[in-house]
Amino acid sequence: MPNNISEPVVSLNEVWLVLDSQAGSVEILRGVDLQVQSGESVCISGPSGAGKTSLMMVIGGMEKATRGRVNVAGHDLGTLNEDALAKYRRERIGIVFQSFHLIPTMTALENAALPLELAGVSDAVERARHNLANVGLEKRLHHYPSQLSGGEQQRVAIVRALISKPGLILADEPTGNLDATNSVRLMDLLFQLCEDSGATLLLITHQRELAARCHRQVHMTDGQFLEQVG
Amino acid sequence: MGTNVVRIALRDLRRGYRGFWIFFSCLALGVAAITTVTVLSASLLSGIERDGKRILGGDLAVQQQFRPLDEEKFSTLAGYARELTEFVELSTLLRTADTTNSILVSLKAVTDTYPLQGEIKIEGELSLPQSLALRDDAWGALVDPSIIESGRARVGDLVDFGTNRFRVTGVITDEPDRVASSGRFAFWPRVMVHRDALENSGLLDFGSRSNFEYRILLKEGLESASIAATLESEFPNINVRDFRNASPNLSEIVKRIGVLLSLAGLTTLLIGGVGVSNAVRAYMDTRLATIAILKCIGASQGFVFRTYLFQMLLLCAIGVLLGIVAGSVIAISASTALERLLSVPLDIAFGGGSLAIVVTYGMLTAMLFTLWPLASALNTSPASLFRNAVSTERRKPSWKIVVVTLGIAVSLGVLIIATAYQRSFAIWFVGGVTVAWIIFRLISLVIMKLAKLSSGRFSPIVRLALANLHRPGAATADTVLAIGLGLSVLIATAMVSANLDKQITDMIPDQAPAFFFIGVQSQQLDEFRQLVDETGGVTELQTMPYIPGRITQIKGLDPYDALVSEDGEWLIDDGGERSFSYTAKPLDNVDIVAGDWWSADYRGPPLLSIHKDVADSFDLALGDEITMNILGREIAGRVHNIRDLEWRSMQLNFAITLSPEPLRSIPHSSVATAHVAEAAEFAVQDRIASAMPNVTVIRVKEALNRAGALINRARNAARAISVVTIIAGVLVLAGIVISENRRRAYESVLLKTIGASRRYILATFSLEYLLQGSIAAFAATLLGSLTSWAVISALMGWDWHFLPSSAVQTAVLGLAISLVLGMLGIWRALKHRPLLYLRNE
Repeated sequence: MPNNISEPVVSLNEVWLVLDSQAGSVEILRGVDLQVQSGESVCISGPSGAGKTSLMMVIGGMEKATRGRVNVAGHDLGTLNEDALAKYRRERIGIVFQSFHLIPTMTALENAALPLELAGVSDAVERARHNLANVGLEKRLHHYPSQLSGGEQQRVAIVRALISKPGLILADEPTGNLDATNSVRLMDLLFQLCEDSGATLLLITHQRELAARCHRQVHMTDGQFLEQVG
Repeated sequence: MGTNVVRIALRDLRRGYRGFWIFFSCLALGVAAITTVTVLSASLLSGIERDGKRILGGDLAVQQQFRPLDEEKFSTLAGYARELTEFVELSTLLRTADTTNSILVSLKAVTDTYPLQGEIKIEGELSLPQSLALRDDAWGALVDPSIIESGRARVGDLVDFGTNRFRVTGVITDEPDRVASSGRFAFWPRVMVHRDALENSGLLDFGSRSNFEYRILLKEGLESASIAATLESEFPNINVRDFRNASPNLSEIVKRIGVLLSLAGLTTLLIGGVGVSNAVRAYMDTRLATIAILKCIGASQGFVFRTYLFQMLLLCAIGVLLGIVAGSVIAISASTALERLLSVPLDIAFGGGSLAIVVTYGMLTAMLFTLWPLASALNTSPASLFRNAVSTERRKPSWKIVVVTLGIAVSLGVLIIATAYQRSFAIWFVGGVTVAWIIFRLISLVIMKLAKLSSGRFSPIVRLALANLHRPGAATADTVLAIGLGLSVLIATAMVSANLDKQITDMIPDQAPAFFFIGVQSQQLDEFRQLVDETGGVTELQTMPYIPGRITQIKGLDPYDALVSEDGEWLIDDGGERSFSYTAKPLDNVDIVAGDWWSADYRGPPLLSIHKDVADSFDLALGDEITMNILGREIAGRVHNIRDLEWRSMQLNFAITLSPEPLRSIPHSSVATAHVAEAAEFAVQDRIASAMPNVTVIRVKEALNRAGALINRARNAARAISVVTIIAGVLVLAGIVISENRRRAYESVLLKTIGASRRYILATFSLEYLLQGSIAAFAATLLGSLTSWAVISALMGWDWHFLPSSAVQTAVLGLAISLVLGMLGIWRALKHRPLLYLRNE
């Protein structure tokens, strides 16, 4: 467990997310409360359609809560406009997707350096090179995503997510497209990097062994937290 | 734009420009068309300006009709001259041994000092003086290449002009001052002879309708414009031009045609714009994931917008540049042919300012069609990445983009109007395009709405076709716009062309005379009648007095102040000379719409019979007064009747005809028309031309053939424009078909998987194209017809006829082209293997 538990990094109070569709309104999140401490790793599990990914989008500032308060790293997300949310993501959040989502026209090095370049960091490329070397990709720097294996692509994605030292990592089934061996290696890497940087990790996964490595597990169903596990 | 923007934009372009060929082609085609027109017209105008002296034939050109300058005028002119040359121009019949080859020509009789400027180019080895010299009792004559090409005469043949004999010694390939001289004789092919050869030819006898021309190079220190002004004020009856305004008519024509062709180019550019828009949308669809990723890792909306805007600006600039280069190359290649056609040396000029305007047209049009799909793609939510749900469904851009897009459209419209030589026409164009745009957008909306409303009522094939028309992201709007706009232009040009055809056919009324004879002197009239009668075959001969003069006042006002409609401006234009006639008896074949005829024995003050158009143009009523200057005498007459007649009946008729007094006593000539049996036409022509060289003999069939040839050129130009437009339309449709290919392939795979046959799938997709194409084609038929009416009736002032066969044929052809393109796309889609798509899913 993290040392400093006085200041929650993520604080959700009575959060609702209602989306309109042609068939009518759909309640995706229904009064969710969640507190995550700095440095904590939390696993969110639950069946498909439970609202896990939507919850992550709300925390990442990509969906606006319909009701309730979303406070992340000291930012009340409900009060931020599009540009402020972009800045918030650039400086505070790192995201890892199941499908990696690297930009196909950029090399591994360029993909990894991108967040720092957007932040105007002058030695972005050097730092990306160093971090990629740390995850064993020093010989793959100038390869395009299509020339990398799934595991390699996800390592690049993790480096990209962590390169600007965000306080919060959102990982949505990061091993979903990888085989068992690669899954284990990758999660080792993710946990190690989070621990090294003191980042908080919010992880969506269906794999119990991965969930078990988190400090805390929460189970979601039908847009609500049902139980805290472990 | 920051360096990050540029860097990331360029990285994103690494996939190359392969998918952009439609984008570049659509943009470059329109820009190339406008560039070609701009460069050619700038080069022509620059050539006219640079070579003004060569085109005019000197610093100053002086012309007097019918007689040479008297001694006072000539010595005044000579006083200013460092060098002077004089020549005579007139139209006369070139007569050959075989009378059927005789042809009316524009004869130019020059002296040894001709030309003062430039050089006359002759095919063959003889110099100009050698070519025109008298040898073996025959003077030399140089002829226009068309006379040789049409087989009327060959080099070495003996021909007659008036009563003198000439030998064709060569062919003129370039006459430096051809454009600035000729005037009313320019219609006929050129023949050049020596001035001395016209002595005793009868061609310069009293009554001859010849122009006496003088060209001078001024003494050092004299300024051409001021000398021209001095001469004009001192001798009001002569026509003076200086080299700075060598060919005002040609400059005017070049500018007017330039506007027309530029607008045609702009239409191509705007149709191409639909292709640009579609290409950008297809491209941006492939970039949605990248946009979402950039947003996820913290790129602001503004940053992403600037990144892709930079890309688009770069791509647009490449497209425009390609167009400029292609257009310039085409213009340079075409310049030689144009030089030969117009006898004007082109000074290849890219006219920096004009090209800057073309670039601005190109960039504004490109951005007009780019911004919307670009901005709607940028609305992609980063959240879509979480579900792998990046959707190509169209999103509405923000209101700011709507405002900017409207601003660009307005700027483009203002630029088109502000830079056009004829603003009124440009305003019509901009208005027309806007209306067409709105109409086709509305039609596509109606199609989508109807498709949605009725999709549940039909068989599965029709239902699927209808669903494809209204589904989210459907290309219905673009397809309807591309087919509609393209076909509108095509139908408009086809209708213009068909109307021009009809114009040629209608030119020859059933009862048209075979001949017009101009300049029959009063004392020749009896002999003339006798000659015509003796020749045989003449069924009807009509003569009318012909008296030149000009209108000086209408209702006591300056004629220009009395003018209420531009239609009548030709009567008073530049105070020029017009022709009047008189008659004692009522004219045949006219409808009197107001008043009546004077009695046959009327001898009182002049009464006038005026044509209805004249009455309308000057708001004249019975009793109103018109004052004319006839041979120096001011003659005022009152309107006694207003008549209507069909000009094209080719009956002898004058806009203003007077009662006999006092014109009867003024020396004058007559014009005549003759209806002649076809077999006797050449005999009559030869008889009159040889016996009365001063009379201009115009064979109507020959004149109509030449007019028809000129109209044919206009028709071919219209066809050339439509070809460029077809290419633009086909490119746009091809772009749509390509961008739709993946969706169609996926749908056809699914349909195949559930057991649909190829025929079934083909029928479904074809029906989709047929439905939207037919409706667009119908609207295009109406719009194209309306446009052709505007060109034929409003612009050219001719009668317009709705010619359904040509409109429908063109519409069906256009529809067939778009269907074939669509079917090709479907065929490609059908060839995809299901496994490829299903495995990816």
